[in-house]
Amino acid sequence: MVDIEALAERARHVAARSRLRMACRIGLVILPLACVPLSSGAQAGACACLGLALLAVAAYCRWRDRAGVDAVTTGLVLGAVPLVVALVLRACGVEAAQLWAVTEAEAACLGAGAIAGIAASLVVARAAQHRRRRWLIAILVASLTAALGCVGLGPAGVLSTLVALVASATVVWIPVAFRAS
Amino acid sequence: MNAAERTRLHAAMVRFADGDRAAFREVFDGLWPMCLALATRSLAQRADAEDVAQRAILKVFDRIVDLDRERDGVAWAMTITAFDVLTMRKQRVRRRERAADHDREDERPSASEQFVEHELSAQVRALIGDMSDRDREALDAMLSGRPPRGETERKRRFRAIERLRAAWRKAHG
Repeated sequence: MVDIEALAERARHVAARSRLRMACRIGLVILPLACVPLSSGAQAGACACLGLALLAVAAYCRWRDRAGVDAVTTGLVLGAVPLVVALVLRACGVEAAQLWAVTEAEAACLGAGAIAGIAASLVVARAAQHRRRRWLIAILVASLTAALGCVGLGPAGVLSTLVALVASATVVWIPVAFRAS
Repeated sequence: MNAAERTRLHAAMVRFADGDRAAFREVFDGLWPMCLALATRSLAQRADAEDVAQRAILKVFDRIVDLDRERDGVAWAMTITAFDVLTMRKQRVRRRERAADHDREDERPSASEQFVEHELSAQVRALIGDMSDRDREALDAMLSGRPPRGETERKRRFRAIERLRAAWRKAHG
């Protein structure tokens, strides 16, 4: 005779383990992504810190619910835009100037960050539910991914990318949130 | 289960897959009787059916995070159960085949039996070797399986066997 309660408990544990496994699978993307900036001369410590932070945020959000899974995917894909731009700049030998001095490197980072932010807001605005939470997760993950790429350019590159990303995403998001309410 | 209950169960599965942990009990209570019923209908033995249903429901919960929201979750769970039923049937067929092979191996004489048979036939051969030429010829012909040619040879064989029996009794009691 089957002990239904024991079976239900086992099924609950199996489902929890399966969810955790699914959440941690994102490490297969994030860990190689964290190693890429090292090839462009980024500091290993900074890459490790940002990579671990990104992994922790992404795994937790994916573990929590489906909205988190989708938002993390959006954030990673769109955060890869500034990451790739920063890597290309580093490959071309371009370095960011001092803080608050806008050179071509900062301009490129601003542009890439703005594109990622606007795209993230537009993608999340199409979701049917949990839009605010999706937006926050997507922007957080995109910011960490972009920062990971720009760490080789120096603080000015990271800062300009993040400012552009968050500001553009917020500007696009305000009318969406206003219309929804 | 009617269409409305099925739709409700599918919605609960989608909610659970999307992260609503509170939907677990609804999903479990809805799926378990269906898995068990399918397994019981498909397998003759109740114990096998319960094993299969348990394995299937654990598999369903192991894969539920990858549930395709557009497709019927109940049908998906029943497909997993049906596959497990088929696996159990194949295992039973293989078990039966292995048991039959084992029985066939049992029919062959064991090493000790072969040894005893060899020893006995060596002793019989030794006794035959001590007998007269006519008796030895008659017994050799009999042991080779050749049928007797006429009544005389049959009687000669009979007498040779009688003498062999007497010699065996004398030698081994």
